[in-house]
Parts: sequence; structure tokens; C-alpha cells
Amino acid sequence: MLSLAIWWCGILLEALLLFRGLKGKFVPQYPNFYIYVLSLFLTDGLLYVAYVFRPEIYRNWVWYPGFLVLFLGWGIVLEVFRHVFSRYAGVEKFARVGGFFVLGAMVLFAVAYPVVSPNESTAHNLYIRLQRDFLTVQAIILFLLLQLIYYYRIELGRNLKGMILGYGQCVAVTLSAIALEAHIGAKFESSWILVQQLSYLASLVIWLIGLWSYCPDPPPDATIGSDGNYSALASRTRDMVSAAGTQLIKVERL
Amino acid sequence: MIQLILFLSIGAALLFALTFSLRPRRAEGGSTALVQARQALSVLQGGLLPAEMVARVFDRTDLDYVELHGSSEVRRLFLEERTRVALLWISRVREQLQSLREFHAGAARHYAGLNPLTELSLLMDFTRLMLACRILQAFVYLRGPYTAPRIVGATAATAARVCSVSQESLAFLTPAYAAAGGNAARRAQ
Repeated sequence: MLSLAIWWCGILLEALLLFRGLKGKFVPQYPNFYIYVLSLFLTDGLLYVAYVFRPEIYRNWVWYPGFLVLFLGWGIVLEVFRHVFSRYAGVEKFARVGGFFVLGAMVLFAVAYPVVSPNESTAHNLYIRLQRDFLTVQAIILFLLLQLIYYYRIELGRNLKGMILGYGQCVAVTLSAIALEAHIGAKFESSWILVQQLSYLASLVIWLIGLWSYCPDPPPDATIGSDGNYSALASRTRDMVSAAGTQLIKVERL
Repeated sequence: MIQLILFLSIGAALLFALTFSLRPRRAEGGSTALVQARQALSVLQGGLLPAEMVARVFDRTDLDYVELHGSSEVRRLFLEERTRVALLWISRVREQLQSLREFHAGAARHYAGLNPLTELSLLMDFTRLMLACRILQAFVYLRGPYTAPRIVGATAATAARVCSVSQESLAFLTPAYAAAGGNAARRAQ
């Protein structure tokens, strides 16, 4: 019963989120995010209809929309990238290099792991493994992105903060729940489904608050420097690094 | 078990980052930040880092004098005070270095030619310096201000070098700084 109530609330919140976006006319500002929310809304709605009227269809198809939603989840990460670094080309390059590195490492792992340790490939097992791998990459990329936002003191608007917070907590909680389920086994299954549902509901509430109205990111205070200036700054910095390193070795030896 | 720890750690790290990274903070890179960076440099070079000042805080001569002429109670009070002054000095150096690091990040983010490797090595350098300050702080707190004068000297020298390079880094921003100073002066009027 609790799961059903959460399901209804989810559909209601997704509809409200889409309604607010359309009413405020800011759906074109965040297309990937709203495609993701629309896919969630359609998936939840259609699966609910199947669950009520044709349970056998629901049982056969319940895992398949998950793949689509899993892939579309990348849209939110891309949306965040696009908006956060649109005014900071250098930091964007930094994030892109880090992102490709993590993605490459995970794809390598995903290809190598089944060869080393083959497993049964039912839709459920495949979904769980894909979900875990995808969420791990997204969690690491979101973590790196948050570090860059913090280090370079990039100001975010309420929309983007809500998007990152809602999706980030859902990714973190789901990843932890999957890991616990894999370790503890079937007895944790009902608990982890409930935890996931509550975390998803929390995401929808955060998104609804964050994207209630359009609130763009504040522009940076000033635009200073050019590529030439950065090279000069970098060479001076290198001098400092070697000088500081020498001094610090002395400190360590004391 | 290793998998469980790994995935739980990634999840926890993300939640931790969400909590701390999205908190509202003052923005760097603007006119206010330039003025603050200049102030940080001035404080470090003029008020905190001169060799004679550092030497005075950590010099044993004063302690020898107190030991010669004062009671054990006076000696204890003197050591308490000197330890407090030393700890305050170290924490101020850390604060100013932190301010300079934030300024660098605030300025560097605007460059399209920003080099990730250079930025990472600079971050490591600042981190090592901060760590050295922390170790020094722990040393002084646990064993008093007269146990590690060479560490003090080395840390001060490193910080001074950071300052001189930062000053060079700030040199090309002089027009912006002047404009910011002008704006601040106009606002004050």
C-alpha cells in the first residue's frame, strides 16, 4: 500500500513538474532534464495502467523502461555540464577531460568484467548491473563536477542547484542501496526498494522546489585574462611549485 | 566486501560533496576579490611574514630572561601567552594563504587556456603548504613555541615565496585593481 501511495505521489509530482515548466515557459532552457522527467512520467503512468488492468504485461515489461530512463539520466548530467561551464571554457575543458577519463575507465571495466566473470544475463540481472555501473560513473562525474564548482567558486542559480541536488542524492542513495542489496541478499530487497522509492520521491520534491520558476545562473563578476596571460601565470606558478617543494622537503626532514 | 565498501564510499562522498559544494559563498574573480587578494598579500608581507617578527615570536631570549628573573608561575604564564601568539600567527598565515588560493582559482576560471595539469599541481602545492602549517600548529600546541624554530623558518620562507609569485600574478591585474579601487573609493564618497 505504501509503495502504491509513493507511486501515485510520484506521478502527481512528475505531472506538476512538467506543468510548472510548461507554464513558466522554461522547458526549452533545460530540454534534457524535461525529456528525462517526461520519460519518467510516461513510464510510471503506463506501467501503473498495466499494473492495474494487465498485471502479466506489467510483470514482463517492468524492467525494460528502466533501461531507457537509465540512459536518459545522462541528460541531466549533460544539462548540468552545459549550464555550469557555459561561461568558463577552461574549467569546462578540465571537467570534460576528467569526465572522459572516468567514462573510459568504466566502459573498459564494463567490457572486461563479463569476460573475466561471466554471469546469467536475464533482463533483471543485466538491468541491476548496468544500473550500478551507470550510477557509479554518474556519481564520480557529479562528484568531480561539484569539486570544480567548489574550487572555482562558480555561482549557480536555484534551477541548477535543485537539479544537481535532487539527482545527486538519488544517485548516491540508489548506488548505496544496490551495493547493500548485492551484499546482504534477498532479505534486504523490500527495504532497498522502499529506500529507493523514498529517495526518488525526495528528488521530485527537490526538483519541484528548485524548478518552480525560472531562475538562471548569475553571470560572473568580471571577465579577466586571456590565453596569453594564463601562460604567463602558469610559468610563474611552476617556479613557485619547485621553490615551495624545496622548502617543504626541508620541513619534512626536520 | 570490497565492492560494498567501494560503492558505499562513492555514495557517501557524493552526498558529502552535495552538502558542502552547493552552499552559497561569496564569488571570487570580481573587483571585491581583487581588493581582498591585495589585502591578503599586504598582510602576509607587511604584518606576518617579516623575518624579524617571526624570529621574535619564536626567539628563546625572552624565555631565558623570564627564567632568570621570574618565578615558575610567571614562566608558565609567559609560555601560555607565547604559545597563543604562535598559534595565532600560524592560523593567520593559513587564512591569508587560503585567501590567495581562492583568488587564484577565481581568476584562473576565466581563462579559456586553463591547463588542468598546471591547476592540479598548483592545488597540490597549496595543499602541501597548508598541511605544513597544520603540522606546525600541532607541534606548537603539543610542545610549545620553542621546539621547532627551523620548521617555522621554512614555512615562513615558503609562504613568502608564494606571496612574491602571487604578487607577480596580480601585477597584470593592476588596471582591474585600480578600477576596483576607484569604484570602492567612489562608493565610499
